[in-house]
Amino acid sequence: MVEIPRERLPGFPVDQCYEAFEHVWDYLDGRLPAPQVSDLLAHLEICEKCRDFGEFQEAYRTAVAALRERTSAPPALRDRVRKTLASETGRERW
Amino acid sequence: MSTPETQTTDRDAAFEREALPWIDDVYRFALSLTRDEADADDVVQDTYLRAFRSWHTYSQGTDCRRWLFTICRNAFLRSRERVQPTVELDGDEGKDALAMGALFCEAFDAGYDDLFARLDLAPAIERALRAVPEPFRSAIVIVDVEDQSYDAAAEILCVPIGTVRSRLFRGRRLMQEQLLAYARDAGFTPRARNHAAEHRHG
Repeated sequence: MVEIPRERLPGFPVDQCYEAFEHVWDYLDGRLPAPQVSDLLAHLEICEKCRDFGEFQEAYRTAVAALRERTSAPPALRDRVRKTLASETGRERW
Repeated sequence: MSTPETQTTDRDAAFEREALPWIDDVYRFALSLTRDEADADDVVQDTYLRAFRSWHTYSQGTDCRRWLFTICRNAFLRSRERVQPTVELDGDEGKDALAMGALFCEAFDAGYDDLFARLDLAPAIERALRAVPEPFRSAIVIVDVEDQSYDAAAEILCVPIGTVRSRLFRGRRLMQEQLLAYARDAGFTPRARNHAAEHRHG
């Protein structure tokens, strides 16, 4: 649970903002229980800075997920794995 | 009645159909563990050989990628002779979440609140991920890059779901710290913001 700092962050005036820091990620990960989803969405509706925080985290997640498209197994490794399986099974081609 | 020959052919065909298509995913996961391409190749080869030999333990139609990732992680640990589990740091999701709030404030003030939407950030994200220490890096790769569930991550990493969550909070915080520092060091142009919006946010 987020401990609310004595000096609050600029633009995050109420306790719900600090809960949102944690709950936004549980929500994005699909792990926030339904009653808390309602509370979070109600807060985001009225708090623009928390909404921006949520969009910032969502953009981070999208950017990191895009790494998936950037790296694939090199062709030489595919050949190597197929040769290993051929040698294991005695099959000529894999 | 099936003969041993047809059973072998069926096994090979099933392995080829269900396991081999995940080679890109297994390679990315291996690379995230080893941080070295040659070592990753070795781990992937070992993973597929072990997977093939233990194919009878896989329940067909279940999550083959999750099964391969588990074998891959074990192959990596064996290759490093690090069979002992890593020492777990105390999770403090609250502290990490608050730090992410503070980071967002910094990013906003610097005009980098659109940082993650910038197309030129991808190489920096790759570097940042390589720099995140274990055990946080694996959690990020499994959940954020490979889009697997907390359940899958917990099974692959052999840790409780709560540990996956705390590792993700720490890993995401570390990633964002690095990427914000990178944007500053690389002199990214701050986002042009209209005065009214800035005033609104105070």
